[in-house]
Amino acid sequence: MGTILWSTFAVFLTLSIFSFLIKDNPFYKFAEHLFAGISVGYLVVITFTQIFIPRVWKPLMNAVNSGNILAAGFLAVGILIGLMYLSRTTDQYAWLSRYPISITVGFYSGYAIAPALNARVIKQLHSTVVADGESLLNVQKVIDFFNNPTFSNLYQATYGPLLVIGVLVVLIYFFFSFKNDNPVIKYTRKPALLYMMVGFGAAFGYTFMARISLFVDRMNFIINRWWPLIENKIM
Amino acid sequence: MKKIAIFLIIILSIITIYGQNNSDNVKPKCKLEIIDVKNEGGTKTEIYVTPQNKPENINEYNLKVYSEYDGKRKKLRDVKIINNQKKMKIPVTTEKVNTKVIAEIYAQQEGKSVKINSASVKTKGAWFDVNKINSFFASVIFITLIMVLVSHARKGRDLFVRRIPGLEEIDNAVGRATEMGKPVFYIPGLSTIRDVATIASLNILRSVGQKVAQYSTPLKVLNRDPIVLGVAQEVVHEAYLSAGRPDLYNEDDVYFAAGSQFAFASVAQGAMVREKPGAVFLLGMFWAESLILAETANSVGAIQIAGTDATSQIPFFIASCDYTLIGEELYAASAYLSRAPKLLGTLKAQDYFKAILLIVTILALITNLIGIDFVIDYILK
Repeated sequence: MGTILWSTFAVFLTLSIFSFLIKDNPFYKFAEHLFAGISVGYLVVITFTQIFIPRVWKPLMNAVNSGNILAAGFLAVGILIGLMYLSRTTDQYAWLSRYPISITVGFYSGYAIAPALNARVIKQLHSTVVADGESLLNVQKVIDFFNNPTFSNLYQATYGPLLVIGVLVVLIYFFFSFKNDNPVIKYTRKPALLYMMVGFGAAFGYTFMARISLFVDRMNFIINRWWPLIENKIM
Repeated sequence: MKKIAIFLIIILSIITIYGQNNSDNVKPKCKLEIIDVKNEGGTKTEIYVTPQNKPENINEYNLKVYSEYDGKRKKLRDVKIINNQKKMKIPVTTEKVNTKVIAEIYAQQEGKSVKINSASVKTKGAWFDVNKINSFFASVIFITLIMVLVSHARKGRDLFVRRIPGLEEIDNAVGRATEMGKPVFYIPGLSTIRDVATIASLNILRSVGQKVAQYSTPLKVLNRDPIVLGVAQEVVHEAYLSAGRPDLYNEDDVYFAAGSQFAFASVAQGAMVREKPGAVFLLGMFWAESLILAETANSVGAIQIAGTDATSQIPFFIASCDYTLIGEELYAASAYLSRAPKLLGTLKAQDYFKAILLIVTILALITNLIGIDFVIDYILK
């Protein structure tokens, strides 16, 4: 009985959300508020049980019990800075919340520099020159294509150079210091846009299919899992 | 007869025991190495196990790994190692730095699990990861460029930034919303403050906030992250102050919508349908909810300006929004809009740094073509 009840409720919520496609209505509002409320409640519980208790409270108690004043002080300072954020609820002391915000923004802005440079810039450029230990500008592959002009050899010969040209022109596209009529910017602009649009088109198609599969899964739940339960109960 | 039976039992027992002793004669051997991984924070070790017996004699071994810190021993791993006579690598991570990691190998002998080898190492943290020294130098160059160019900008040197079409429309979008008497919606992405796109978006929010305050148009900022919410409230408040309209600022207009991704999307689309904004700004980091937000904004007739560095979401914005800032245009936007020396200097530094990277890449391609891999091996490592 419980399975049928919860499955029916899940179907009701699914259809309530889909009803938004027609127009805003009370069913959608109910599902929306339920979803938002549960997500906030869940976030609070997760933050309390998985962050506050194991990372703050337990280490603090351990430090206090073992007489480790340094560790306890370190955690106490962290807690104090965190509590400053709650000062936003008052008008008089709201300025205190700027300290945790500044620390967080400052820390993450600085912290992001080196990993971003390494993962998003250096590694990407490395892969523009060499991929899987092979040079992307491989003259031998071009020679192989002319010796044996097959589609596979054409792909092998053009894949690397096309990728290299794409990276270079798109990189030039994102220079903001030059006027749009600068010859380098002017003549690389269209190829760069072409490259980007081809990439975006592929990403669009790929993601669209993923969304369709989510819809199919939901319909599969309603038709093949929920409906047979109801059918068995009625019949 | 009874005596003969006892004699036979004794003989059979001796044969059986002798036979067992024969199979147990094979002494289990297993090579065990444990090394502290260099160039990291001091929590990683690698254990290498090489079985020395033939698989038909010893089928499997058991590796037990313990950590020892402050005299407390804790089991980290218990791995069954099937004997294929090949060297196996088992990575182990400890919770703390300077922890003693003990590895012990056990094998079955005479029906008992017997320790046959053990090794230990103490993890040590390295101050520098020498493998990432190129990232360090790149960071130093980049930061130096920023400092120099910000200083130039502050001295009043004219720093040119080319026209970015989407940004020129911000004025029009806010103006249109004002003429229609509708609010402006701004969503600074769904990511946390650690995301560069979120920081860039909050910089743009300041410019949008100023324009909105000048026109006295209501502004609604929907947030998913509590820290971003706090920053957004501060940014909007400051924008209203700098526009000379602090009286228009309402803290409740910059609010927390929901904590989870799709709950946020449902709240945002509900708010859009009910309040019918004249302009919607979707700037920051977005995931699968991007199309839901953009399509809903489109359905209520709002002019939309979107921008993200999430390449998988840009296509959706291009398809459904009026103007889209692609990738780095989002980072350039705040400098372009505010013309603040700090931001302009940073933008210029980005351009110079990109120019250096372009030259290095072309150099790497040329040297790689002629068989010299210096640039790839050391600079773009």
